[in-house]
Amino acid sequence: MGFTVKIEPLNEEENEILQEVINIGMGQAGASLAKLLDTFVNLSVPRVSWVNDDDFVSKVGQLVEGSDDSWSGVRQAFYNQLEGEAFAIYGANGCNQLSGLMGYDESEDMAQEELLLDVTNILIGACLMGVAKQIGKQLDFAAPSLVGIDKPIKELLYSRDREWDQCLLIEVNFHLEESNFSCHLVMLMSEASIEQLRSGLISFMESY
Amino acid sequence: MSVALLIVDDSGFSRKAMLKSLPEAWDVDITQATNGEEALEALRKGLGEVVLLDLTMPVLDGFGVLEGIRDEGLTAKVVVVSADIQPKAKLRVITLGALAFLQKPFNKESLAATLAECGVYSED
Repeated sequence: MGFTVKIEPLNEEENEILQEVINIGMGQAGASLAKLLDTFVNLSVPRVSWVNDDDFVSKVGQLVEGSDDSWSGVRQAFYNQLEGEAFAIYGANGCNQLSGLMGYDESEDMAQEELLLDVTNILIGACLMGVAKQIGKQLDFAAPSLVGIDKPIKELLYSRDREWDQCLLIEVNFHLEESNFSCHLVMLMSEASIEQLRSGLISFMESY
Repeated sequence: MSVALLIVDDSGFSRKAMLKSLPEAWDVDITQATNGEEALEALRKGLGEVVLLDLTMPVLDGFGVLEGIRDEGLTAKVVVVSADIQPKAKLRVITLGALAFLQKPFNKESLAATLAECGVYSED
């Protein structure tokens, strides 16, 4: 990709609608997570922001830096009317919390990997599917794949499929009854998908 | 006589959606709040006979508002409007005194039906 003009992907009003649509998606994700972990999940307001693909690695790095030393990541591609790649990033602490809740031993690597894939599938699936459904867009998913376990953040982020135009950062915190676990969801999307997103958000708003 | 209606949601879009979805014939005086603290302040001033209350909010969440109403002995008919669809969340708000739980995304019909169910508005 050559020279591109850096513009705001969505305006303030469109972002506000997106935030609420994501909030609804995360409500569904929280309910599925509660079922999987057999606990009550306290939801927080998801924080949503945009960065250019060029700045993606450094911005996400800054966002998560300091809160943990090593990270695990799962990637999941999505396609159809919205097209891109989603990442779920978990701090080492969060992974251990999750394993503990499921009654896994930390040494059971396979079990932990499976758990990360399951949780990611739930979070990304519910979040993106919730968004797509509300704005009336078609969406399909590839199977999630593990990018890495206990790695420095940059190593996880460099492994994306291809260059995308825009990156949507969604920060989600789930407070469980017994423990806290937070994770970052990162959605990379094409310009065409942003346009689909915009048109969908506008018709969602007009439905009221 | 018009009803003092308090709409509580941190999302401006969501508040607008609620405003637009209210039954047209319902005679209400509307106050808006963007978090639980603001909601309790409005309630103390008597601005919320009926409350449409979101759960997931910064500063003080909807559960906190229901606890505040209970602890301060305030009177309000609360309908929770939330994306938190865990069965336990619904149970918790009903236990804390909410009259009904309306799932987001809602529409005119589901909102009117919920308001009628709680006896705060009827079309007749």
